[in-house]
Amino acid sequence: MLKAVFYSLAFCALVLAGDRCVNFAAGRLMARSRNSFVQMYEGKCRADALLLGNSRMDRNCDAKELERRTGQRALNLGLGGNHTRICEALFLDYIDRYGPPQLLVLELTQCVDSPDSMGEMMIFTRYSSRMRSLAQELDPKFMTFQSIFKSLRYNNDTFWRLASEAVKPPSPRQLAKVMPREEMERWKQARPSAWPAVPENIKALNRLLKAAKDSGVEVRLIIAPMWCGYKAKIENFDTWKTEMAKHIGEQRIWDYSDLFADEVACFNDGNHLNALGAKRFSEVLIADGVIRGATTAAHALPSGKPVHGGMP
Amino acid sequence: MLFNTLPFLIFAPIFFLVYFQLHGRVRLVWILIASYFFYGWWDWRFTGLLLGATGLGYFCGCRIADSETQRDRLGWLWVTIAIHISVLGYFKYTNFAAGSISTLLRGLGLDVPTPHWNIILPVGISFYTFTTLSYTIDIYHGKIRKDQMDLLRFATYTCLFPHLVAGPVLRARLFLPQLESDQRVDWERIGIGVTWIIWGFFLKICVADNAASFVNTRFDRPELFNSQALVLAVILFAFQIYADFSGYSLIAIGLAKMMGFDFGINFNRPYFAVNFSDFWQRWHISLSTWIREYIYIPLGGNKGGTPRTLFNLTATMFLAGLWHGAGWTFAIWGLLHGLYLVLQRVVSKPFAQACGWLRLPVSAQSVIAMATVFTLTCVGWVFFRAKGLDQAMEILTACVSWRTREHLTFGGGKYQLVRTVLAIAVVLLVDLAGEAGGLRQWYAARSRCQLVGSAAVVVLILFLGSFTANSFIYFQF
Repeated sequence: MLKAVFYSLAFCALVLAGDRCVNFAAGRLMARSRNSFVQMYEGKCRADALLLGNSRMDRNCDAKELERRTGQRALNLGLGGNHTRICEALFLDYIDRYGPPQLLVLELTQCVDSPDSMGEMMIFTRYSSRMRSLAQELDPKFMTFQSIFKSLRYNNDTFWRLASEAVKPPSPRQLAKVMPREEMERWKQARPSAWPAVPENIKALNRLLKAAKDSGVEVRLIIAPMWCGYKAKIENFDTWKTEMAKHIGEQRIWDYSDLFADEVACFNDGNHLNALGAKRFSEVLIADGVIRGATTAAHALPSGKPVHGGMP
Repeated sequence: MLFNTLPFLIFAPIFFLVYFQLHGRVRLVWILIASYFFYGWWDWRFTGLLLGATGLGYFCGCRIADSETQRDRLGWLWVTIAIHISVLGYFKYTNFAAGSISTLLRGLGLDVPTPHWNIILPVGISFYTFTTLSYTIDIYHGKIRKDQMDLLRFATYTCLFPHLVAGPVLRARLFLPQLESDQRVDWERIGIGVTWIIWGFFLKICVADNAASFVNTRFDRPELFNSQALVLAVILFAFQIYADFSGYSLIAIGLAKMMGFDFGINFNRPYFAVNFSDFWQRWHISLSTWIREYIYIPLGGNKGGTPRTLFNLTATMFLAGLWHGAGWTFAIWGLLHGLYLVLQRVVSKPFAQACGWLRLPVSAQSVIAMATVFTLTCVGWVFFRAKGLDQAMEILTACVSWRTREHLTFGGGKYQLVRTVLAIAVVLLVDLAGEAGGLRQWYAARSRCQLVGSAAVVVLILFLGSFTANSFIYFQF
């Protein structure tokens, strides 16, 4: 019996020790990643313009292109599934580390994302107590397990992406493909859906806007371009936008949803631009003064399309 | 109740806490109660079916044992086989048969609709039907003595929860003696059992469940993916099904070990097989021995000349395929393996002669043979996994033609693939070490090494595992 107890205790100790070793090694590897989130949390990338949102910010706004054209440092912290509560935490974490940026650009469709999950951001609970409390609220069971087994934090695809970016430069976030005909057909046959006005996200957005205002940060709310076939399936797009405008008060919304409406060559899929589209979108953002910089005639909108915007 | 879910993690400790306190027949009663609870957790209505199968098996077993003439014995054997197979057929094959008949009639020009009945397939019915049949067949052959026939023991043998829903398929004459005396439970057995359970969970959670998401997306819509993605999906499915089923088997065997029972091994590094006879001695051993003993040998085995042997092999494998699922894809999978076994008899001599002529070392011959067996097995897995024959052919064509049309994609899941490949590498390393028997014995003799090894596996599960509580593939059979 004594032997069994000894073996059981030794087994638990070995598991915990192994878990801590993995936690240590994975943490060290992650810290070497050149990923923009890691760089931000490691205190290695101060920016003039901070870009936040979901995949539509991540894929559609080319921070490098903006930097090249404006001479200002731009940091894109958009990521698929990042809802407004995560964006709020990211913004405050940024301020804690670097102080307020000059400009905050928010892609508004993040407010549609479900606020019930941490998505790919769970791994960053390593760096931020704010992220930890949010994760605790959204996924308490996982956080309880994670408090015992630290290596669970690295049990996700994000870790492997970050690890790969420790040994090679991060691959460009802009997508290379041109939307195939099959994708267009898929959207044509897709059922229409309605975008919700998610109360938690709206509250978080208002808190975020207030925090930005209190810190003296200029804010731009944008809606990135979407392909007309995709937009046609959002049956309440205009109503949703009006409702969002109502909730956020005086803040202007720069609506670029129709910018490349039917220019298939600019899209990777229905709601994500490809590299060409992202480049052209960056030019438009600069030309419109959404992102400040040296705008020249050469950067003018090639298509000459009028820019929608001006909510309310 | 799934082994990889929270309810089971609560159920198992409670079961064992009580189990270790009991002895003799009371212990068997406790196993019965727990097993019915375990089965009823899925759908309590089907516990009646399980009870019926047990009652029928026992009743017919007694009738066979009590019969004085061979004719009566045979009669009662056919009664039990007919009833068991009819029940299995009703639940598992009704829609398949109706669909096949209506397709055939439509092919003959008759305008008939395809009927479909909403019949729920009771979990584990294929397994406990075989388990029960083994009992009556063994009694018929006189392999079970009359004093071994006891309702409580038979019910425990049929319903024992570790093997109840997805095997291993037990054989009555080998298992019933283990119920005759008190099961030996000691810390050594518990330790070994826990080690197997942990390794089983690694196979399931780290290999099978990680591979599943990559495989499922590609098999669900193969028309969207390029050849590289589909080839990889087929290879990963080969590992998924191996890890899924051998993982389940190891958990079952480990639980049984802790209870004091020996089920025997069910998988013995099948992808190291050098021919298909070898493969079937390593893959789902409990089923393949059951089928050999109760179908292949009664059909005549290899004692009726070459044509008869080839027919027996093909017929047995066809039935084995249909046992796995009610669909022509499963039948073709079985037939393919039958064909492989037949071809093996034809080509094994020329292959050996060619190797001799080329002066290939034995190790190179083994590698070539293993690669060939694995590749052909993968072809079979395409039929096993595909939704239909059209889809299977589409995937096989894509794999061979190396299609790279522009809209086709490799698809996402790149990083999940990294995790899966890492986990598979661990499995292959362990299997490779197992093939080198000396290392396995060295490890088995050192409890401290096992302790460290098991702890390392738990850490790997935490780091690489997919905690989505996916069902086990063999549950559907």
